[in-house]
Amino acid sequence: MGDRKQARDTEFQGFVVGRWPRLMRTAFLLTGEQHAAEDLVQTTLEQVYVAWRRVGSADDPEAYVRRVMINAHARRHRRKLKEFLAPKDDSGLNREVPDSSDPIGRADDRGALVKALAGLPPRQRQAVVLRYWEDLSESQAAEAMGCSVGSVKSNAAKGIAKLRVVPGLADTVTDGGRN
Amino acid sequence: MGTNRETHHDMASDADIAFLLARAADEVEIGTAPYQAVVRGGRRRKARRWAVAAAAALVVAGTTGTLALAGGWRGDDGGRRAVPAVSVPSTPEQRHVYDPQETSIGRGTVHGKEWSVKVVVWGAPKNEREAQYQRSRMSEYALTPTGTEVASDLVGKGWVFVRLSLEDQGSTTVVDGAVEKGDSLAGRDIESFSGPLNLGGGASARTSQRLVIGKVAPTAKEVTCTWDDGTTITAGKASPGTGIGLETEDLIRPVDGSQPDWFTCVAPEGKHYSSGTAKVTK
Repeated sequence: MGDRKQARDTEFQGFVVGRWPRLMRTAFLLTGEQHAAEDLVQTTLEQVYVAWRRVGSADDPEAYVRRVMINAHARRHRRKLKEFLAPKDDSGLNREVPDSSDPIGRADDRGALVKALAGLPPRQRQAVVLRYWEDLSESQAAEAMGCSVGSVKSNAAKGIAKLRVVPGLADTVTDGGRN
Repeated sequence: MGTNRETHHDMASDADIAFLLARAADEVEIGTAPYQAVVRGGRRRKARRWAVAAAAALVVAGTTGTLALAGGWRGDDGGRRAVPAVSVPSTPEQRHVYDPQETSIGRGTVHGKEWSVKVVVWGAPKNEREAQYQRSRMSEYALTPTGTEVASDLVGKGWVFVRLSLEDQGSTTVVDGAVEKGDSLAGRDIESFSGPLNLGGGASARTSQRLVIGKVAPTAKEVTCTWDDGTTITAGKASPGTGIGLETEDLIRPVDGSQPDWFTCVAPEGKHYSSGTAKVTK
């Protein structure tokens, strides 16, 4: 028992250290905020720790971790919606986006994207991040989000459409982000 | 990367978004993975998985080995042997999603009043619809799974309630928690809770922990409870078919729907368990 437990602990430590950077980036895109991202990843890994005995031996532990993170993200939105969303206008996007005529604003397109993402409804944001950052297939994203493939397609399409009309970000998008 | 034509098309046409997402993701400060904090948090979560009802002032008294709780599923097959996951019955009724399995694990009298403990096991709903109906059925039983907010929180999890009944005082849940497939107790794993033999709670209850309830691997043959004064009581394995008598018997018993076996130990009058221990000794 002791040796097996130690082996599991070592394996889990390797998993945490190895996956931390990638998970932080995904969480940052989901939450739009450094500390919220750290909190989301830590919460996710704590839950993974609880189930590590079976997760670690599963064929695809990554899929489990993604599912846990998306669930944790969704749960936070149910509980503390205001904490995670800035004031929104009717389009569902943040009012605060860089002015495209402002050179500083243009230079801050990465910030604009993060803000625009944070303004998307949670399911659209999750679909966009899983499809276009995590590079998952629609079925993999559906598994992570616990929904149908059709729902992933719909949420991703709506999310992308909203991102494309964000002032400042739209210019960046059209030139492929090469500014 | 996507696996179908439409996926490839979407990904190609939205490559600019993917590019910006990658750049935006680089904005985050990665820092060092807080491994120790994750483990501490994970351990706290394991401990919290069994939520102790405050009114009964039960105390999670001790755990050795793994904290994984329970799992696998037992059919109502009389022999109470674990049923492999592949043969889990398919209908919600067969899985006891809407009507739980109940097993008495201890009974006795204290100051002339009868007390009893039973374990109520609800099967895991497979989807939100089953979970919603299960939640409404639990309400009819006056049971609330601690820590859940919406029905979907129950999907994929069985739920166990430990109920303490006292003559003239009614029944209450003293501890409840989720059971997920794959969890199991093995070897000398043990998880135990202690509390008073009354439902009133309060400071006096916290200092009069006489009842110990716990679960162990099905292979465990003996549990020894050590009271605060160093004296001990052992609970042996109940023989197959052993019923529950009116007199207190400290025994390890199988429970329908639960992978672990359960036991109760009761401290003699005047003895307590506040800083005692429960261990699998055989």
